[in-house]
Amino acid sequence: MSKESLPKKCQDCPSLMEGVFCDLGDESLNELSAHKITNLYKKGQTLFVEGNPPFGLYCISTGNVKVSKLGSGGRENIVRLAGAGDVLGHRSIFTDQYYSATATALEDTRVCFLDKKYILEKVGKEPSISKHIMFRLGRDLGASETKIASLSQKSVFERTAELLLLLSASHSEKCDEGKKITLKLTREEMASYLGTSSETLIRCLSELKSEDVVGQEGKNIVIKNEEKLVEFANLSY
Amino acid sequence: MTTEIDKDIINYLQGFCSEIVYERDEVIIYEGHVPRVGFVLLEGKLEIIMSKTKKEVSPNNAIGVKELASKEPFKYTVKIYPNTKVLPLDRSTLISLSKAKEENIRNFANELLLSA
Repeated sequence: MSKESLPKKCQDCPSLMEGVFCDLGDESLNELSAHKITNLYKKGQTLFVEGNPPFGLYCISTGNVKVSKLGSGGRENIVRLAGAGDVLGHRSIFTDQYYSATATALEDTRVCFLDKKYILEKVGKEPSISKHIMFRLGRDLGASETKIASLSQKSVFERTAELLLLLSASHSEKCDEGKKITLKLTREEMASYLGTSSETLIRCLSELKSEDVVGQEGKNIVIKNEEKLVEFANLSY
Repeated sequence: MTTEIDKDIINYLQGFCSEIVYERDEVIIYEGHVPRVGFVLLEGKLEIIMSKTKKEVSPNNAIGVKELASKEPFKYTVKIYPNTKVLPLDRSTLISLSKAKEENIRNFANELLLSA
């Protein structure tokens, strides 16, 4: 995608209604459009790095980003996946702390950036932005708590099923066999998210394939039997 | 590529902005990107990567500030190394500096903003 084709106005953003600025009027959106910096991040490019200072808020317009922390021995652990409409870097701005994780584009990702001073002023003037950011903080906290509980209480097989359900809900499209997961994560990335090894993950996926719960279409995982997957995930709700 | 900054302006900026020290190496500007923030290098290592060549930025030089003001994509990639101290200049800061009481500061900021 060339820079010329990046939409200039926030009103033209395909994720406006999923984002934190969805309740703003035209005048505010025009002001945002004038102030923001939009860039296209290619797969593997970092938005920010763990341990470094925050400069502002990142708003994902299109694409997907992995948020990861570095463990001992340099091992990456994916803690969150962020997509269109999500914001990144907000916690560091509001807590005045350095970034607690690294954000890396998983594919071509269009990201708008608003500097810290501007966004803090804007949040003060437009309460709806705070409301939407708080919603996201609450949602992400809930997801983190669920993940922590899963890590201690569930087997890798159950967690694999849970991850596939999560991806099915957020990144899938219908296909002949069921639902095709459209977010392309490598086996290493999936294993990293689950806190396990690639070998163990592959064993779990093979087991799910042998039960005809999931299949493969090229590089994409296809969910054939979502009901069975829910059973395997052992969800408590 | 880089802009040398007068010592007086750097002294002013040090009182106006917060210095930051990078703990990890990071690509701070990708080629083809509009910088989110411009940087004045105080100490440490900033490297400009163009094709296969690399060039280091000298202290008291700013990088990415003109492109930030004009919203023009940067022609090179810039990498910062650990323990590098910089003064970040974001767009809001440039606008604030353009309204400073001190003439030399106003001129510095306005030259950048009006070149856009």
